[in-house]
Amino acid sequence: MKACELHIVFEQADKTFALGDTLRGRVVVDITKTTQCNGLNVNLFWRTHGRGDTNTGNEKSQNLFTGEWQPGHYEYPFEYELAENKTSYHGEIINLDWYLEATADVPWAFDPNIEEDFLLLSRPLAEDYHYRQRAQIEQRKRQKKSSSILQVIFPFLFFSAFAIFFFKDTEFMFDLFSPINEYFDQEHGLFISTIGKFLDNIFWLIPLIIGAVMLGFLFRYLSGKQVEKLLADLHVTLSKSEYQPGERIEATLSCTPQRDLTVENCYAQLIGQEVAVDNSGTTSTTHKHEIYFDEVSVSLPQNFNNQVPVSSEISFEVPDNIPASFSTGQNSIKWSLKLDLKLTRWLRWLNTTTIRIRQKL
Amino acid sequence: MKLAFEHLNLTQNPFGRLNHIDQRELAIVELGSLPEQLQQPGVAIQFVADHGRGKTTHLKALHQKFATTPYQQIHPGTKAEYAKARIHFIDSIENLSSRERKVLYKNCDSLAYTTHKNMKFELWRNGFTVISVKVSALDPKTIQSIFERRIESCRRNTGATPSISESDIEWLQQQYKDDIRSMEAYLYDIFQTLKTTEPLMLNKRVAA
Repeated sequence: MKACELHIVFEQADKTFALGDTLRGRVVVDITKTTQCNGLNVNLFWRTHGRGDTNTGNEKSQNLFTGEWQPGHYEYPFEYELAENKTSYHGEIINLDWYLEATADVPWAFDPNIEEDFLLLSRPLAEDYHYRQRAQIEQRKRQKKSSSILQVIFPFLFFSAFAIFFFKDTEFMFDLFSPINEYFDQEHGLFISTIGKFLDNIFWLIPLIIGAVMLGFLFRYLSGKQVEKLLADLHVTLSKSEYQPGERIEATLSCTPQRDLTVENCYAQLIGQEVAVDNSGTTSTTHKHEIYFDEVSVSLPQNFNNQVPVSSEISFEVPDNIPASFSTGQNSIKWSLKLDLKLTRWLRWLNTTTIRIRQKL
Repeated sequence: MKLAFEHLNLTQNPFGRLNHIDQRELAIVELGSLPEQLQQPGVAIQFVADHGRGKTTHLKALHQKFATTPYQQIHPGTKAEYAKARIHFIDSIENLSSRERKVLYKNCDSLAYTTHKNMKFELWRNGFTVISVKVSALDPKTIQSIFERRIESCRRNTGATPSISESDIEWLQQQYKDDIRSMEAYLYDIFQTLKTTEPLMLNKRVAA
């Protein structure tokens, strides 16, 4: 048995507390030989864990004892008001937990210490919210993937056609396509050298692909700018700067068309996302994970008339059990309202507004 | 809501970031005579490997023997500032510009650093004797021990916790060779979905 052993005993055995509760417990110390203690301290704090770097905060320390321990059993009560509005959160790549740590400062020895976690909730949560909407999130990811592939393929084909048309008589194009011709030309029969040559040349496709991707981004940017030009004063206004779980997010989309137009569709999405930054080793990686997704169709008149202002309400219910926004260094939960307005297939306006979800007290 | 990973008898996912836990508890690093060699003036020790092989872990393990000497992690674009010291520890030396590296070589007697590319010749040209350590964990037992230490560091109570068998390690090595960080990233996702402390059986999991 060690000379000094520490234990933390919570008065509430299930270690589950609500905001505003008083956390009561005691630090139990078992001493087998006389020990000098320069301070038995108990420290309350939160810490994140998951894929990102760990962050800690709200450290509140209490000194419970200083002096000499004779062999025996000691108990030191402590209590904390749990007023901080950061509650426990267990997500996919981010978790936030509350801890109580007791440490005895023993001179000329390793300081014995113990750490216990506990739950701090704003109210009892029925289920883990991050699994609740998984099917919907997965479906959206698939859609996103296919649309992003299309975004690359179309500009790539366009860019390739453009390049072939303008450079068809150049040496570069001859080099690029002659191996393919050779491959089909049975008289040459230089299969291996042809493939080798083709692979050599295929690296010339890299600038073509980069050009296509850049063209895709440029196209999206110009398309958004064109929509803003056609629909003057196009903006989204939130009814409040922050919302609480259980409330409704009310927003207004408004604009003044500069000519008669037809609207294809308009969708609004409420998205919750975990963002964790991992600085392990020599690289820094940002991980993202969607925890909430909801989409509504924004009701707009199908035809916009020149100089007739348009205004439409967007409304989302904020579920009662979603996590609040937080940002703690490398870990954050971000909420945003995304608007996707399509006038035609090629004229599209994408807008993202950050929303702050406050902890429900 | 239950305490984090209580169902696995753990306090957190052991394959997430554990930078609040003493890295000495987790690292399995064989330094041999490197600490003594670094004491010699004009010696440069380079830990060279691709991402995720444990270069930084090795450098940190060596740095623990020289706790008072400066240790700098260089991210791309960061400007290095050198404190006056005989020995320097630089994580990702290739992120320094060649001019900054020259200033560094002039201002230290000995140097330990991590790098993706072999910097031996540059150091030779600047008068250093270079000891190059290629970091790679290919021994399945070593990898298993590293992972077991991670799990153990997150233990909640006495009793069973999930364990990683030799066949799991074999399967991971087939997928990721010696890239420990990628193995850990994969295991993170597996631990997120575990319901009990039953064996992982990664090969069967993928087949299913």
